[in-house]
Amino acid sequence: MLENRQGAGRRLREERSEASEVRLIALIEAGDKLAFTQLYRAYFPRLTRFLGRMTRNPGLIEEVINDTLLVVWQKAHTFNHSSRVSTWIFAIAYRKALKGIGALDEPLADADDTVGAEALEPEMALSLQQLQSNVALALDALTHVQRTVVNLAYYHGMGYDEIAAIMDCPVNTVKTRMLSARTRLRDLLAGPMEHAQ
Amino acid sequence: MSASVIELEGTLHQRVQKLLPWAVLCRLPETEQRLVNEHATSCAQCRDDLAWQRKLQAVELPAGPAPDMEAALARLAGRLEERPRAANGGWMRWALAAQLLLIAGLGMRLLTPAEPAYRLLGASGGAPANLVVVFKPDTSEAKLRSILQASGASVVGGPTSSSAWLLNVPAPQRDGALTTMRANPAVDMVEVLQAAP
Repeated sequence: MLENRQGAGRRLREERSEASEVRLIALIEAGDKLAFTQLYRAYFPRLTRFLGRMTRNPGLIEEVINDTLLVVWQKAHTFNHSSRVSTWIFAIAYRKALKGIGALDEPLADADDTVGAEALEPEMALSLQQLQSNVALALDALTHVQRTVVNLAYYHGMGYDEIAAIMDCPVNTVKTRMLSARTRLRDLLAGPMEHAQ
Repeated sequence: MSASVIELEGTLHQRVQKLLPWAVLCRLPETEQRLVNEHATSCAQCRDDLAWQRKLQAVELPAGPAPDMEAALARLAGRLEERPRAANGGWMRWALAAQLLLIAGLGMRLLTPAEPAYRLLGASGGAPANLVVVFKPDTSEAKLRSILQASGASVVGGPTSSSAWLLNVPAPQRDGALTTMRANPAVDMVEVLQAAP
């Protein structure tokens, strides 16, 4: 039913990318600042997108990214290849973000159903921009752990094992959080998604 | 004694429901992907959920406020400092240096490891060793491999009784490899190996 060819092609690209990143980490461990700059530029946009769903503060996003990559610079020798490089870096970023943001298990926006009723009008013909905005609003209505799982899965393409490693929780917790998030999102987005192209 | 919580998978439908997001992403192991595919052929709810999640995952989220990458990198650059190499133990370093001088002076024919030096799969065949390296005792196999790959080195022989490895690096890259390995905290010692006369 679902194409595995798509998965196989993506896996090959990821293996190549992983090999390249492992090489960069080895060079960084040896003090190579050019390699560090290359890794920084590769991860900055990804981490910005990830952290942008945890805080709207660009100053804080920069601080977390820089603190994260500083750890990579200082502790490259501790990377033990038991996970992908991306999992290691995202796990550091997630922990730094939690400290910096002081995240509690609460939604970023009001979690009551008024969000759905007012912001997500099913009768309106939705432009793409409006749909994007509605999805973003609905994500903000999730708890931060639900939002993080959805973010890492849907918008960073990570498997449940990687997400469990990043969030330092059991795999089943990841799956349960995702199921709760999906149920909530489906409630909030029933109308808009029905009218989406 | 505390009771351990056993996570039950529930029904097959419940198990598949939890896997759906990663089925959409083609991120499941083959057995789980097959499980989802087979179940979905007879479950309208799961097929509907899959379709809904594909729509959701395809919605690109609006970019939030983002920090400037080059400015952030410039600010981080000032926080990077040269990392000191880890201090090495006293007498062992002299013992290793003595063995390396012996190897350099007498050549490979006088190399007498305590146990037979075994030939590694993928070793460079007839290429002569031109570097000898000793890694820190706690260096993992994966770390060792990544250091060798980053340096373009292939293993010619070893490990010796004092854990030295004989490497071949193409002549144009030898000095660069020497510098890279000397700067790596996992490398205890690396020296140029002269060919036997």
